[in-house]
Amino acid sequence: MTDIGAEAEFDPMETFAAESRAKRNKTLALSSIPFAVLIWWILTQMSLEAFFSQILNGLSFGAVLFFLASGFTLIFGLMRITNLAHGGFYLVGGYLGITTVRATGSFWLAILVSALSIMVLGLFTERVLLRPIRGLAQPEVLLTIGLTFILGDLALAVWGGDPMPIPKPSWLNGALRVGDFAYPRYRLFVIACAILMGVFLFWIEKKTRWGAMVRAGVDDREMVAALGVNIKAVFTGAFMFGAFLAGFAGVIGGAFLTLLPGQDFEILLFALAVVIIGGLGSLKGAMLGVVIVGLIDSFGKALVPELSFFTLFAPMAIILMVRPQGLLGKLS
Amino acid sequence: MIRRISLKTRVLLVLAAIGLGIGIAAPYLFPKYIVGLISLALIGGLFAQSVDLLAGYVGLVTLGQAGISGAAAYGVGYMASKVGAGFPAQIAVGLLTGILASLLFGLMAMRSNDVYFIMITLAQGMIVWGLSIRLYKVTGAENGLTGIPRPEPVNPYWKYYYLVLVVVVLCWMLLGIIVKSPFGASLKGLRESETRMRMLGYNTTAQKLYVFMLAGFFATIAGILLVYLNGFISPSSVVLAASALGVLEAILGGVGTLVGPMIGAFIIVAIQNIVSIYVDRWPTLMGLIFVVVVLFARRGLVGAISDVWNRRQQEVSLEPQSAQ
Amino acid sequence: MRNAKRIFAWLAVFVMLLSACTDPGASDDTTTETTTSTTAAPAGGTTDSTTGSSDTTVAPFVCDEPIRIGVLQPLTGGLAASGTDAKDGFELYWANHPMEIGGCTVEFRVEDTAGNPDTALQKVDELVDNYGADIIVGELLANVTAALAERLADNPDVIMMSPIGSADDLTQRTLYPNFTRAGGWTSSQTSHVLGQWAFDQGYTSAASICTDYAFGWEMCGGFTQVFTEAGGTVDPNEQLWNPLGSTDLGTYVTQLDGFKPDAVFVLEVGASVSDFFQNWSDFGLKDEIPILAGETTGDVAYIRNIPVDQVEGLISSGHWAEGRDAPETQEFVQVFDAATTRLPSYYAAATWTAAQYIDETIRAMNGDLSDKAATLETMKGLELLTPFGPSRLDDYGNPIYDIYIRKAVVRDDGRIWNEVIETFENIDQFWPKTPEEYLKQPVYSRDFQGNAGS
Repeated sequence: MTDIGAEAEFDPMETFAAESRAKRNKTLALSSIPFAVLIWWILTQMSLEAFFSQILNGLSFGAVLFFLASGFTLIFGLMRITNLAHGGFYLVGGYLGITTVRATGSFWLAILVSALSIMVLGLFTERVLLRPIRGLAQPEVLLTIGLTFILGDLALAVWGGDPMPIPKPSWLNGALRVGDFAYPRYRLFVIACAILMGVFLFWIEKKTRWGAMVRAGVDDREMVAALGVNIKAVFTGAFMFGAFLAGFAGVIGGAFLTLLPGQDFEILLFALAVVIIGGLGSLKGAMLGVVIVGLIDSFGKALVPELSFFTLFAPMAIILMVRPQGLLGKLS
Repeated sequence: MIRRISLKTRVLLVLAAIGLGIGIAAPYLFPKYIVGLISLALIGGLFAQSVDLLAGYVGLVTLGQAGISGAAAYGVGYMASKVGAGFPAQIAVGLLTGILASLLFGLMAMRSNDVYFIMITLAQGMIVWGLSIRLYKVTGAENGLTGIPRPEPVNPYWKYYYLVLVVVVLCWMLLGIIVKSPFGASLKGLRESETRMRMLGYNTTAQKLYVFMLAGFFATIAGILLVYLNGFISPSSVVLAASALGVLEAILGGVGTLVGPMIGAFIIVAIQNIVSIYVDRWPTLMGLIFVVVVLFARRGLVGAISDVWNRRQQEVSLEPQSAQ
Repeated sequence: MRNAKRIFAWLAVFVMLLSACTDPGASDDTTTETTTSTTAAPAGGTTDSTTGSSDTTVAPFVCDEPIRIGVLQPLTGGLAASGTDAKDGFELYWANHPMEIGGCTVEFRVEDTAGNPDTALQKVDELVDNYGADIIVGELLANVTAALAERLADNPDVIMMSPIGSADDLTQRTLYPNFTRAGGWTSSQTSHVLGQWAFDQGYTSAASICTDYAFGWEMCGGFTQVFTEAGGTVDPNEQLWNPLGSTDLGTYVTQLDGFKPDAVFVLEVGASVSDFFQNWSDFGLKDEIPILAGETTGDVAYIRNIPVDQVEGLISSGHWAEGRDAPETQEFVQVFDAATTRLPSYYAAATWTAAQYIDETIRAMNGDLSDKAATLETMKGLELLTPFGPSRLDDYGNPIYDIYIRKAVVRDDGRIWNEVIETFENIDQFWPKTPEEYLKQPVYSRDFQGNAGS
């Protein structure tokens, strides 16, 4: 009796922490069981080779979404702007990429041209259109959707409505073969790009002054402004960077997802699912969301094709019911 | 004692009378297809009002409302074209599916707020859309359900138009009563600060569920009216764009008013169906209108008009004072 | 309480106003009735006189009003490119043929549906009631076409033509009296032929990937039924269905690879076409498993934007082949290419042919289209040489064509197009069965693919 009391008195916080750690470990162990069962079941359904292919399929699709979702989540985290024009940025970026490739033959130049042009478009959007209505959620929704309509329709007028893939460098065509296993080179390239970009973003966020400002801005805008940081410039910079990533994604994604009018809304929907599942405003959340959405998409199509319309949105609804702020998001 | 009616009220009454007058005379004034479009706009307006009940009065933007009206429309359509049931059964099933959907969605969404509410309703709408494509034996998939006749007494287009007019005006008045009631006042409190309302002893979660279901009820009515208007229902009526259109119409006209969503609906129906005949790039025009309205009339068209009016009034009331 | 009273007051006013209205439509109805009844007699008279006079001399054309044609196509949204091809085909026909036919003027108007059936229904009301269209030509999507046909079904004053929308049942199990597919086709019509051809090539097993909606089911069913009834096998588990507008087909391509079939039947639409070929060649399958493409998947509208190495040599079947070596085809191809700098897709050829049918029908009717039933009968009696080749309509209003096995070939100018490698002559929508036999089975769906082996 006394022992327990003494111990509790000795360091209640420590006991509490230990208990909660044990509890968390237990939940982790418990929750890994259904995952193990799921993977076992999947492996009974397909060959190991197909299993790996599907994982890579999911990750490569997720990789394209990552470029969009990370920009989207940065803009939201910092400014609370739900930028629904992000899909429009992606589409126009992709089309600019096609024009550049056709004119110069260079895929890399296309990436640069598109990303920079969309960055300028982002500058215009933030400075001229969004600044007067800062903080008004509903007008922001109307404005960014209006912008998407305009961008999509003008793209249709300029580039026509034919579905167009962006021609990619020849060494990225075809499959990489390791023994019996063959996998498209370009998809591996996209995954590599996304990993590099992820590492880069993480480094910026954690190690640079700019990242520190952004992190501080996410937590408390007024405070940062009070400290003498030009918060407006940070906002503009972040918005431009998000737009830059969307233009980048347009070319990278356009080379294997094909550009088509209407894809602005479609890709936006996937990017939204990513940030919602991962947690709005969180870079880590976007990374997690990308992996989850990508894998759900590819395995859902392969294993339960008749449910492929729900495999994305049903989990999304369930996650939101249990954790309204998303997996790694903070409640505001 | 005679209560003095303010100038504003008088102007509004005159405008309402003119609107109602045109509404009643419409089948005599316009050709058939315009009357059809007015029916469509009235139904769209009711739908946008149901969105506005959430967006304008509670501050919750929904992107899944077409899922609810679609569920109701599919309920009617299924009973009519697959079961061949009579009209009472069709309408009963339509009401039932619509209200069930709004109950289910309300239970799922009532705990979330802000952007999370937007996203969970978006997911709900997408699920209904997915079902409408997947359950092809019930819904006819992309082809939808055709052959849904109107009830005989209101079958000619102009009779159906009057039915739509009466139902929409009734719903409008009902909505007006709701937002003016103590319940409506507590909703506005919810919009301002949910925490404060909770401290005042309101069960805010339950309140959100009630208002979600109320909005769902009006969306259900709109869905049933629409399916009989077109005689047809397909997944294109439940896509995200259909839900988003309701939100856009409400914001365009002015959230937090009941007349705003109706005006928004008339504008968008006109752009999609009439302006598009003459202007090839009509989606650009629509986008431009959204952008311009946001930049120059932040509170929507109705908000802008009432701002201008109020400013005028102030000037007028200031003048005699300065003369004295 | 006061609220309630106010509502009742409003209601009372409203009801009174309503009851004050006499039928606004009543006058409308009677006028239309009288006009139809008055025109009915002379219309009957003119048809009599024309049929009588056609034996002797050409009667003078009678036209009080221009003949009006309403065209509905998606000009915005995801299908805008195909819709624009369809619009251009129709406009170019009339730009190259007189719009005055024996004193009768032809007018037409093209309107945008955005690919949305609800919008299309509003637009068709406008075209019929306001514009006064005699003929409606539309739409691209099968589901929109079906909705339009249903809407116009009880309107005896309009003819509905569907040169593109190909839902099987519109000329099979759900017939509308004023509907014809002149210039058009049924989905399974061309894939039946491909099923036979595939078996003739010695393929014994096939897998398939088709878009998961009515058009995909019908195309796939047409191939599967004829291929399996000829003796081939298709394992139902190896028939993949991807949702319309799938963003990434990599998953499905991985699965198809695992099936190791002799050949794969593919029916994709929109962006999924290039997505499929991209994946197919990236996964290194292009030279491993032969592809047999459904008509739209092999259409020049799609393959012209895909890197040549991915689609060169693609085999597909279709009633359209822009590389067909015949003057009636090449004349149209040159006109279209000169005007748009594009090689015409089947969407363009279809609306051109629809316009040709309309033109010839007006001539055969001496400009009097007031009796729509007689007009439709006349149209069904025509035998035309169209860009598709020889064409006539069967009893159900669907064309009988030559169907081509096509191969994608790069032209001297570097552009890709489809040349004919084999022709199946005079194929109707029921081939190789008789109509009676064919109509006993249900329409193709996910559950009914006519698979003889399962």
